[in-house]
Amino acid sequence: MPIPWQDEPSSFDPNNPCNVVDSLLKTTAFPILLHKLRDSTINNYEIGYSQVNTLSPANYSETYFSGQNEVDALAVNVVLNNSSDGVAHNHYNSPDRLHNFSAEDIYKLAYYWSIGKINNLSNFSYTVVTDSTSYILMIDDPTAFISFAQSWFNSQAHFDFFKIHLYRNYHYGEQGNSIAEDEKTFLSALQAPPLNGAGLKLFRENKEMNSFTPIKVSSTGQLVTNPCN
Amino acid sequence: MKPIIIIIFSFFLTKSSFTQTITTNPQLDKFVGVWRWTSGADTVEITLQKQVYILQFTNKHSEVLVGWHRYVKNGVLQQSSYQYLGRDVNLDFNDAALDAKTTLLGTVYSTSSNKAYFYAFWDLVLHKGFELFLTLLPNSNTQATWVLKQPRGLYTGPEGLNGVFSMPRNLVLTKL
Repeated sequence: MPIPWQDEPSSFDPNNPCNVVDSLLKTTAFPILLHKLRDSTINNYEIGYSQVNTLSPANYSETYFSGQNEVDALAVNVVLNNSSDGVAHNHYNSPDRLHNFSAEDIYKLAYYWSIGKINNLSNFSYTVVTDSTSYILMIDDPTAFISFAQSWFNSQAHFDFFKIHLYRNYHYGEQGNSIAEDEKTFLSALQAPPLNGAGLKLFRENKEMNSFTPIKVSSTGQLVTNPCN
Repeated sequence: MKPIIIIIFSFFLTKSSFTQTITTNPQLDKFVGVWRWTSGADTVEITLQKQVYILQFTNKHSEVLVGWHRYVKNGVLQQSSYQYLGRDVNLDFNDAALDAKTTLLGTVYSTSSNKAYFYAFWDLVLHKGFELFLTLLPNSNTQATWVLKQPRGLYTGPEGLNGVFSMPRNLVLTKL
Protein backbone atom coordinates (compact mmCIF):
# COMPACT_ATOMS: atom_id res chain seq x y z
CA MET A 1 0.00 0.00 0.00
CA PRO A 2 1.47 3.38 -0.91
CA ILE A 3 2.38 5.56 2.02
CA PRO A 4 -0.03 8.51 2.22
CA TRP A 5 1.63 11.80 1.43
CA GLN A 6 0.46 14.99 2.96
CA ASP A 7 -0.04 17.95 0.70
CA GLU A 8 2.98 20.17 0.35
CA PRO A 9 2.40 23.73 1.42
CA SER A 10 2.27 26.03 -1.56
CA SER A 11 5.29 27.95 -0.26
CA PHE A 12 7.49 24.86 -0.14
CA ASP A 13 10.99 25.64 -1.42
CA PRO A 14 13.13 22.53 -1.98
CA ASN A 15 16.25 24.64 -1.56
CA ASN A 16 15.20 25.93 1.84
CA PRO A 17 16.61 23.59 4.52
CA CYS A 18 13.88 24.49 7.01
CA ASN A 19 11.22 23.53 4.46
CA VAL A 20 13.03 20.27 3.72
CA VAL A 21 13.38 19.30 7.40
CA ASP A 22 9.72 20.13 8.06
CA SER A 23 8.72 18.01 5.08
CA LEU A 24 10.87 15.08 6.24
CA LEU A 25 9.12 15.10 9.58
CA LYS A 26 5.73 14.98 7.86
CA THR A 27 6.60 11.80 6.01
CA THR A 28 5.83 8.45 7.55
CA ALA A 29 9.26 7.00 7.04
CA PHE A 30 11.56 9.61 8.55
CA PRO A 31 10.14 9.71 12.11
CA ILE A 32 10.16 5.92 12.13
CA LEU A 33 13.77 5.97 11.00
CA LEU A 34 14.69 8.31 13.86
CA HIS A 35 13.13 5.96 16.38
CA LYS A 36 14.81 2.89 14.88
CA LEU A 37 18.15 4.65 15.27
CA ARG A 38 17.40 5.69 18.86
CA ASP A 39 16.13 2.26 19.87
CA SER A 40 19.34 0.73 18.58
CA THR A 41 21.63 2.90 20.72
CA ILE A 42 21.35 0.29 23.49
CA ASN A 43 23.44 -2.05 21.34
CA ASN A 44 27.23 -1.92 21.26
CA TYR A 45 27.52 -1.10 17.59
CA GLU A 46 26.42 1.67 15.28
CA ILE A 47 23.76 1.34 12.62
CA GLY A 48 22.94 3.58 9.69
CA TYR A 49 20.73 4.03 6.65
CA SER A 50 21.14 5.51 3.23
CA GLN A 51 17.96 7.07 1.90
CA VAL A 52 16.62 7.72 -1.57
CA ASN A 53 13.64 9.92 -2.46
CA THR A 54 13.24 11.24 1.07
CA LEU A 55 10.78 13.87 -0.15
CA SER A 56 8.84 11.54 -2.48
CA PRO A 57 7.31 8.97 -0.14
CA ALA A 58 5.81 6.89 -2.94
CA ASN A 59 9.31 6.19 -4.21
CA TYR A 60 11.17 6.28 -0.89
CA SER A 61 13.63 3.54 -0.06
CA GLU A 62 16.26 3.05 2.59
CA THR A 63 19.17 0.66 2.93
CA TYR A 64 20.28 -0.62 6.32
CA PHE A 65 23.91 -0.83 7.42
CA SER A 66 25.30 -2.17 10.67
CA GLY A 67 28.63 -2.26 12.46
CA GLN A 68 27.55 -5.49 14.14
CA ASN A 69 29.11 -7.92 11.73
CA GLU A 70 32.41 -6.18 11.43
CA VAL A 71 35.26 -7.64 13.44
CA ASP A 72 35.12 -5.44 16.50
CA ALA A 73 34.31 -2.49 14.27
CA LEU A 74 31.31 -1.07 16.04
CA ALA A 75 31.52 1.89 13.66
CA VAL A 76 29.11 1.63 10.77
CA ASN A 77 30.23 1.95 7.17
CA VAL A 78 27.38 3.49 5.18
CA VAL A 79 28.34 2.87 1.57
CA LEU A 80 26.57 4.88 -1.13
CA ASN A 81 26.58 2.92 -4.37
CA ASN A 82 23.95 5.16 -5.90
CA SER A 83 23.11 8.83 -5.65
CA SER A 84 21.22 9.39 -2.44
CA ASP A 85 19.05 11.98 -0.70
CA GLY A 86 20.05 11.30 2.87
CA VAL A 87 22.22 9.36 5.29
CA ALA A 88 21.31 8.74 8.91
CA HIS A 89 23.27 6.89 11.58
CA ASN A 90 23.50 6.59 15.33
CA HIS A 91 26.18 6.75 18.00
CA TYR A 92 25.51 3.88 20.38
CA ASN A 93 25.79 4.14 24.16
CA SER A 94 29.55 3.92 24.53
CA PRO A 95 30.88 5.92 27.51
CA ASP A 96 33.02 8.03 25.17
CA ARG A 97 30.35 8.52 22.50
CA LEU A 98 29.85 11.89 20.90
CA HIS A 99 26.41 13.43 21.27
CA ASN A 100 26.77 15.26 17.99
CA PHE A 101 28.56 14.67 14.68
CA SER A 102 32.18 13.52 14.78
CA ALA A 103 35.03 14.83 12.63
CA GLU A 104 34.74 11.56 10.69
CA ASP A 105 31.05 12.20 10.09
CA ILE A 106 31.80 15.61 8.57
CA TYR A 107 34.61 14.14 6.49
CA LYS A 108 32.25 11.44 5.23
CA LEU A 109 29.66 14.00 4.16
CA ALA A 110 32.34 15.75 2.11
CA TYR A 111 33.46 12.37 0.77
CA TYR A 112 29.93 11.49 -0.41
CA TRP A 113 29.86 14.76 -2.30
CA SER A 114 33.34 14.17 -3.76
CA ILE A 115 32.31 10.80 -5.24
CA GLY A 116 29.12 12.23 -6.69
CA LYS A 117 26.69 10.28 -4.51
CA ILE A 118 24.62 13.21 -3.29
CA ASN A 119 21.63 13.85 -5.53
CA ASN A 120 21.08 17.45 -4.55
CA LEU A 121 23.24 19.24 -1.99
CA SER A 122 20.42 21.62 -1.11
CA ASN A 123 18.03 18.99 0.16
CA PHE A 124 20.36 16.20 1.26
CA SER A 125 19.73 15.40 4.93
CA TYR A 126 22.51 14.13 7.18
CA THR A 127 21.25 12.81 10.50
CA VAL A 128 22.80 11.53 13.70
CA VAL A 129 20.87 10.07 16.64
CA THR A 130 22.08 9.15 20.12
CA ASP A 131 20.23 7.98 23.20
CA SER A 132 19.45 11.57 24.16
CA THR A 133 20.12 13.80 21.15
CA SER A 134 19.37 13.99 17.48
CA TYR A 135 20.66 16.42 14.87
CA ILE A 136 20.25 16.99 11.17
CA LEU A 137 22.88 18.76 9.11
CA MET A 138 21.65 20.48 5.97
CA ILE A 139 23.75 22.21 3.35
CA ASP A 140 22.29 25.67 3.08
CA ASP A 141 25.13 27.14 1.01
CA PRO A 142 26.42 24.55 -1.48
CA THR A 143 29.18 26.83 -2.78
CA ALA A 144 30.54 27.41 0.71
CA PHE A 145 30.26 23.72 1.54
CA ILE A 146 32.16 22.67 -1.58
CA SER A 147 34.90 25.19 -0.81
CA PHE A 148 35.11 23.82 2.74
CA ALA A 149 35.23 20.22 1.51
CA GLN A 150 37.92 20.96 -1.06
CA SER A 151 40.11 22.83 1.44
CA TRP A 152 39.85 20.73 4.58
CA PHE A 153 39.35 17.23 3.28
CA ASN A 154 41.53 17.05 0.19
CA SER A 155 44.29 15.17 2.02
CA GLN A 156 44.76 13.12 5.16
CA ALA A 157 46.96 15.88 6.57
CA HIS A 158 44.23 18.48 6.15
CA PHE A 159 41.69 16.13 7.71
CA ASP A 160 44.02 15.68 10.70
CA PHE A 161 44.23 19.45 11.00
CA PHE A 162 40.44 19.67 10.94
CA LYS A 163 40.46 17.35 13.95
CA ILE A 164 42.89 19.70 15.71
CA HIS A 165 40.61 22.61 14.87
CA LEU A 166 37.53 20.83 16.20
CA TYR A 167 38.84 18.79 19.12
CA ARG A 168 41.96 20.63 20.26
CA ASN A 169 41.24 24.26 19.55
CA TYR A 170 37.50 24.26 20.24
CA HIS A 171 37.46 21.42 22.83
CA TYR A 172 34.59 19.68 21.09
CA GLY A 173 33.84 16.26 22.55
CA GLU A 174 36.04 16.87 25.58
CA GLN A 175 35.40 14.44 28.39
CA GLY A 176 32.85 15.94 30.77
CA ASN A 177 31.31 18.32 28.24
CA SER A 178 27.57 18.74 28.57
CA ILE A 179 25.36 18.31 25.51
CA ALA A 180 24.97 22.10 25.32
CA GLU A 181 28.75 22.58 25.55
CA ASP A 182 29.26 20.14 22.71
CA GLU A 183 26.66 22.00 20.64
CA LYS A 184 28.45 25.28 21.31
CA THR A 185 31.94 23.98 20.63
CA PHE A 186 30.87 22.10 17.50
CA LEU A 187 29.09 25.14 16.07
CA SER A 188 31.80 27.56 17.17
CA ALA A 189 34.39 25.51 15.29
CA LEU A 190 32.23 25.51 12.16
CA GLN A 191 31.36 29.19 12.44
CA ALA A 192 34.95 30.33 13.02
CA PRO A 193 36.70 32.13 10.16
CA PRO A 194 37.55 31.11 7.53
CA LEU A 195 34.91 28.36 7.69
CA ASN A 196 32.14 30.83 8.48
CA GLY A 197 29.65 28.03 8.85
CA ALA A 198 31.07 25.83 6.08
CA GLY A 199 27.75 26.13 4.27
CA LEU A 200 26.12 23.91 6.89
CA LYS A 201 23.08 24.41 9.08
CA LEU A 202 22.59 22.32 12.22
CA PHE A 203 19.08 21.35 13.31
CA ARG A 204 18.48 20.13 16.87
CA GLU A 205 15.62 17.86 17.86
CA ASN A 206 13.13 18.44 20.59
CA LYS A 207 12.74 15.64 23.12
CA GLU A 208 10.10 13.75 21.14
CA MET A 209 12.07 14.03 17.87
CA ASN A 210 9.02 15.51 16.14
CA SER A 211 10.43 18.99 15.70
CA PHE A 212 13.87 20.23 14.72
CA THR A 213 15.16 23.77 15.24
CA PRO A 214 18.11 25.28 13.37
CA ILE A 215 20.67 26.61 15.86
CA LYS A 216 23.87 28.65 15.89
CA VAL A 217 26.16 30.35 18.39
CA SER A 218 25.46 34.08 18.68
CA SER A 219 28.13 36.78 18.86
CA THR A 220 27.71 36.72 22.65
CA GLY A 221 28.34 32.97 22.79
CA GLN A 222 24.75 31.86 23.29
CA LEU A 223 22.96 29.09 21.45
CA VAL A 224 20.19 30.77 19.49
CA THR A 225 17.81 29.94 16.69
CA ASN A 226 19.37 30.20 13.25
CA PRO A 227 16.39 30.96 11.02
CA CYS A 228 16.33 30.03 7.36
CA ASN A 229 16.32 32.83 4.83
CA MET B 1 66.08 62.34 14.54
CA LYS B 2 63.02 61.75 12.40
CA PRO B 3 64.48 58.77 10.53
CA ILE B 4 65.43 57.13 13.84
CA ILE B 5 61.88 57.53 15.15
CA ILE B 6 60.52 56.09 11.92
CA ILE B 7 62.92 53.14 12.10
CA ILE B 8 62.02 52.44 15.75
CA PHE B 9 58.31 52.76 14.96
CA SER B 10 58.69 50.46 11.97
CA PHE B 11 60.53 47.93 14.10
CA PHE B 12 57.70 47.73 16.63
CA LEU B 13 55.09 47.72 13.90
CA THR B 14 56.82 44.87 12.11
CA LYS B 15 57.38 42.95 15.33
CA SER B 16 53.76 43.26 16.42
CA SER B 17 52.54 42.27 12.98
CA PHE B 18 54.34 38.95 13.22
CA THR B 19 53.86 38.22 16.90
CA GLN B 20 51.45 35.35 17.35
CA THR B 21 49.84 34.26 20.55
CA ILE B 22 50.58 30.63 21.16
CA THR B 23 48.03 28.64 23.12
CA THR B 24 50.29 26.75 25.52
CA ASN B 25 49.45 23.56 27.33
CA PRO B 26 51.76 22.54 30.21
CA GLN B 27 49.73 19.35 30.65
CA LEU B 28 51.49 17.93 27.61
CA ASP B 29 54.89 17.81 29.34
CA LYS B 30 54.26 14.68 31.36
CA PHE B 31 53.74 12.69 28.17
CA VAL B 32 56.81 13.99 26.32
CA GLY B 33 59.48 11.32 25.96
CA VAL B 34 60.00 7.75 24.81
CA TRP B 35 57.48 5.11 25.86
CA ARG B 36 57.89 1.38 25.29
CA TRP B 37 56.06 -1.90 25.78
CA THR B 38 57.90 -5.17 25.39
CA SER B 39 56.60 -8.71 25.57
CA GLY B 40 58.97 -11.43 24.39
CA ALA B 41 59.99 -10.48 20.86
CA ASP B 42 57.18 -7.93 20.50
CA THR B 43 57.79 -4.21 21.02
CA VAL B 44 55.69 -1.10 20.68
CA GLU B 45 57.57 2.17 21.06
CA ILE B 46 56.47 5.76 20.63
CA THR B 47 58.40 9.00 20.92
CA LEU B 48 56.35 12.06 21.83
CA GLN B 49 57.30 15.71 21.50
CA LYS B 50 55.56 18.99 22.14
CA GLN B 51 55.42 21.19 19.07
CA VAL B 52 53.69 24.43 18.12
CA TYR B 53 51.23 23.64 15.44
CA ILE B 54 50.10 26.36 13.07
CA LEU B 55 46.66 25.78 11.62
CA GLN B 56 47.30 27.59 8.38
CA PHE B 57 43.63 28.06 7.49
CA THR B 58 42.98 29.97 10.71
CA ASN B 59 46.56 31.04 11.54
CA LYS B 60 46.03 29.76 15.07
CA HIS B 61 49.15 28.61 16.96
CA SER B 62 48.70 25.85 19.52
CA GLU B 63 50.92 23.43 21.38
CA VAL B 64 50.14 19.84 20.48
CA LEU B 65 51.61 16.43 21.20
CA VAL B 66 53.20 14.93 18.13
CA GLY B 67 54.87 11.58 17.83
CA TRP B 68 56.27 8.68 15.88
CA HIS B 69 55.91 4.96 16.47
CA ARG B 70 57.46 1.63 15.65
CA TYR B 71 56.08 -1.86 16.09
CA VAL B 72 58.10 -5.06 16.15
CA LYS B 73 56.30 -8.41 16.17
CA ASN B 74 58.14 -11.69 16.68
CA GLY B 75 61.38 -9.80 16.21
CA VAL B 76 60.35 -8.47 12.80
CA LEU B 77 59.73 -4.77 12.20
CA GLN B 78 56.09 -4.35 11.13
CA GLN B 79 55.88 -0.58 10.80
CA SER B 80 57.82 2.50 11.79
CA SER B 81 57.72 6.24 11.30
CA TYR B 82 61.02 6.71 13.13
CA GLN B 83 62.76 7.90 9.97
CA TYR B 84 60.79 11.13 10.50
CA LEU B 85 61.64 11.45 14.19
CA GLY B 86 61.66 15.12 15.19
CA ARG B 87 60.07 16.35 11.96
CA ASP B 88 58.20 19.63 12.20
CA VAL B 89 54.50 18.72 12.05
CA ASN B 90 53.79 21.89 10.09
CA LEU B 91 55.72 20.47 7.15
CA ASP B 92 52.91 17.94 6.76
CA PHE B 93 50.29 20.55 5.99
CA ASN B 94 50.70 20.40 2.24
CA ASP B 95 51.88 16.81 2.13
CA ALA B 96 49.48 14.82 -0.02
CA ALA B 97 51.19 11.46 0.63
CA LEU B 98 48.97 8.52 1.53
CA ASP B 99 50.78 7.90 4.81
CA ALA B 100 51.33 10.44 7.55
CA LYS B 101 54.94 11.17 8.49
CA THR B 102 54.10 12.39 11.97
CA THR B 103 51.99 9.42 12.98
CA LEU B 104 50.64 10.70 16.30
CA LEU B 105 48.85 13.99 16.82
CA GLY B 106 46.98 14.83 19.99
CA THR B 107 46.49 16.81 23.14
CA VAL B 108 45.80 16.62 26.86
CA TYR B 109 42.65 18.27 28.16
CA SER B 110 42.85 20.12 31.47
CA THR B 111 39.69 18.35 32.60
CA SER B 112 41.42 14.95 32.44
CA SER B 113 45.10 15.76 32.63
CA ASN B 114 46.22 12.18 33.18
CA LYS B 115 45.04 11.21 29.71
CA ALA B 116 46.56 12.05 26.34
CA TYR B 117 44.06 11.88 23.52
CA PHE B 118 45.47 11.30 20.04
CA TYR B 119 42.74 12.01 17.52
CA ALA B 120 45.13 11.00 14.80
CA PHE B 121 47.17 7.81 15.00
CA TRP B 122 48.19 6.64 11.57
CA ASP B 123 48.63 2.89 10.94
CA LEU B 124 51.31 2.50 8.27
CA VAL B 125 50.32 -1.08 7.38
CA LEU B 126 46.58 -0.56 7.01
CA HIS B 127 46.92 3.05 5.82
CA LYS B 128 44.10 4.22 8.03
CA GLY B 129 43.57 6.40 11.06
CA PHE B 130 42.80 5.36 14.62
CA GLU B 131 42.29 7.12 17.93
CA LEU B 132 44.76 6.39 20.70
CA PHE B 133 44.29 7.07 24.41
CA LEU B 134 47.26 7.06 26.80
CA THR B 135 46.22 7.16 30.45
CA LEU B 136 48.74 7.41 33.28
CA LEU B 137 48.36 4.68 35.85
CA PRO B 138 47.31 5.94 39.30
CA ASN B 139 50.18 7.70 41.10
CA SER B 140 52.53 7.10 38.20
CA ASN B 141 54.24 9.38 35.71
CA THR B 142 56.14 6.58 34.02
CA GLN B 143 53.49 4.01 33.17
CA ALA B 144 50.43 4.52 31.00
CA THR B 145 47.77 2.35 29.44
CA TRP B 146 47.56 2.35 25.65
CA VAL B 147 44.07 1.91 24.21
CA LEU B 148 43.73 1.94 20.43
CA LYS B 149 40.25 2.51 18.96
CA GLN B 150 38.62 3.20 15.68
CA PRO B 151 37.52 6.83 15.41
CA ARG B 152 34.03 7.63 16.62
CA GLY B 153 31.31 8.07 14.02
CA LEU B 154 30.94 6.79 10.50
CA TYR B 155 33.76 4.61 9.19
CA THR B 156 36.03 6.58 6.88
CA GLY B 157 38.90 4.17 6.22
CA PRO B 158 39.67 1.92 3.26
CA GLU B 159 36.92 -0.49 2.20
CA GLY B 160 37.14 -3.91 3.81
CA LEU B 161 39.20 -2.75 6.77
CA ASN B 162 36.44 -1.61 9.10
CA GLY B 163 37.31 -3.08 12.49
CA VAL B 164 40.69 -4.39 11.38
CA PHE B 165 43.68 -3.61 13.60
CA SER B 166 47.32 -4.38 12.83
CA MET B 167 48.70 -3.24 16.18
CA PRO B 168 47.96 -4.25 19.78
CA ARG B 169 44.88 -2.52 21.11
CA ASN B 170 45.50 -2.69 24.84
CA LEU B 171 48.84 -2.64 26.65
CA VAL B 172 50.85 -0.77 29.28
CA LEU B 173 53.73 1.46 28.23
CA THR B 174 56.69 2.38 30.38
CA LYS B 175 58.49 5.68 30.00
CA LEU B 176 62.22 5.25 29.38
